[in-house]
Amino acid sequence: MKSNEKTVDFDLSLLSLQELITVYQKVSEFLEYLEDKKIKENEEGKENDE
Amino acid sequence: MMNNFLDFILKDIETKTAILSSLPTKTKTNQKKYNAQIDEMHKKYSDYKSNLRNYLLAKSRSFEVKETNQTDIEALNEKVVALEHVKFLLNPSNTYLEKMGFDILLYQISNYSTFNFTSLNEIINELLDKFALAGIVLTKEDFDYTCYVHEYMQAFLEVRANKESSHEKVSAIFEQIYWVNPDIIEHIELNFRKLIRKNDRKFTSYISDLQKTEMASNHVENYMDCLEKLQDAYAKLNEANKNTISDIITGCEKGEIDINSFLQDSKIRNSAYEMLVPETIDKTDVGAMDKVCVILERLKSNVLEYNNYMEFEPIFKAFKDEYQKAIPTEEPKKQESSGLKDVLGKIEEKEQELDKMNRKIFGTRNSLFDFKSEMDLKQLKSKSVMKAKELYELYAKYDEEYFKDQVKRILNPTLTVADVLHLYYSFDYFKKQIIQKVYKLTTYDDITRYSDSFDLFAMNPTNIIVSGVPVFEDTNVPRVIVNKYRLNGIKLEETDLSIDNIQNLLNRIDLVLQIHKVETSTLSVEKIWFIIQVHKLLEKEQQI
Repeated sequence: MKSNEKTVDFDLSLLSLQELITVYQKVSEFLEYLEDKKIKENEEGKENDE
Repeated sequence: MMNNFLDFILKDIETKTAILSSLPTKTKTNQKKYNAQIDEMHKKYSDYKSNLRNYLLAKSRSFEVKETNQTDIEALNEKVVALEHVKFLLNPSNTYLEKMGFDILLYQISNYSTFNFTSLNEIINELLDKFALAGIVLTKEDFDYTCYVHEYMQAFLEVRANKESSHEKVSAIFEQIYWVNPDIIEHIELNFRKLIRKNDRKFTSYISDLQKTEMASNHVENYMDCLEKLQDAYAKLNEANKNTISDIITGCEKGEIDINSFLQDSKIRNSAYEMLVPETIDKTDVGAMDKVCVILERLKSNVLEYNNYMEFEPIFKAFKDEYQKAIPTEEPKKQESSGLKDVLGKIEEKEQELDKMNRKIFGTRNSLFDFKSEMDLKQLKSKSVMKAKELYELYAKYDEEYFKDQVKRILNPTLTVADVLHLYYSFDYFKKQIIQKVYKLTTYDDITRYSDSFDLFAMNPTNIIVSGVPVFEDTNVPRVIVNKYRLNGIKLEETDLSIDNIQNLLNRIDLVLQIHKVETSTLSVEKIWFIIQVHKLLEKEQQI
């Protein structure tokens, strides 16, 4: 697997079966976290920049 | 270079969470920037997730094991069913009455009112079909037990001959007759009983031909040969039906099996091993564990048999209470009892009397008899109904004597539970009667359910315990089982076989057998755990 952030290659076969499940769960949880954190338009914030 | 993706992700999430919490969000511009950061992160992590998902699926699929060969199981099952049918036909304990299935239909019609069967016509049609099978085509002339049966069956046969789908016409006639003679269903039953007896030679011959055909097509020489072949076929089917790795995985996916109990440090696993695997056995020695599992398979079969025994124990007890006093001191008689002959004699005598009355009643239609008044005809019809009532009681007595006769043929002080199982399996009518009585059942569906379950138990050729349990003596069956397996070093207690604990014991046996299956396969507990986790994760996502 390649990360676009840096040129880093990840070999998933190096992970144990338990680690594979954990990393998938962590990625899924972080995605949910991001969805929760996103600010909806017109929510809070001032109309104009200060 | 960071080559562990899990470490990278944990650190990356930490960093990104910190970045997000430090970003300003008070103004709209800041919010936009903040959301843009989130979008970027989301895209990246969605890519990770998608790649990971593909990898997990591919990895999980690479562990997939070959599915059980269903065709083999189906073929083996068909063979068992075919041989069971031959066994049923060759059963030396019963007659054409049971082999034709007349007893099942007679039980239904005689309990018609009790169980509110939806269709009397269906039962009648099935009875007529059975006569047709033996080449006997019944006509309205055959239904002359009483003038009421004659009237009803004449209309019924017309509808049947014209293959009319609606029985409205027949129902109207039934209703009309019912208010004059509420015993009409009993009269129909009596008429069929008489016709069955009258045609016994044709039925016997039909069954004999069928036996020959079925024996030839199933390569069976005689009853004993059939039993041996059935035992062999059943053993093969049992072997094929044993839990495969694929069954274990499916069980885990459905939540029927908890994969966590397979893990080395599981309390459930350790407690099952402590009870069922002798202390002297090295649990990592595959050969030694193979032998333990053979013993555990036998124990499982015995426990299942004992479970069945407990379910039907009230029947064995009722049989004991009824027949203990009748145990003969000499060899059982093979010939028909005098009680049965007496009742049959009375039935024939009264049927002749009824026949005479009917001739007079039917004769009036052809003006052969000159009745002084309608009153005389009404009185005669009333007398015929009374005679039919007496006959109905005599047939009930006949049934009683018929079964007593069957019991007397085998009754002896050492009669076993296996003998009683075979007896009731051979006589469906009396099996359903005793089930209805002992379990106080009120619906035919319940009776059929018990009856089917009883037959499965009675037919099981792997039964071994019941062959050694005498009906007329008290035997502590759990003790017999426990002592047998203690010799094999298995720490069983009698209480493990109590109604409350028996399922727990079966679960423990299954667990040890399943773990051994997994540990001696190409998979491991960890790989199965992984397959299940992947299945659960993907299933959860599909639900969302």
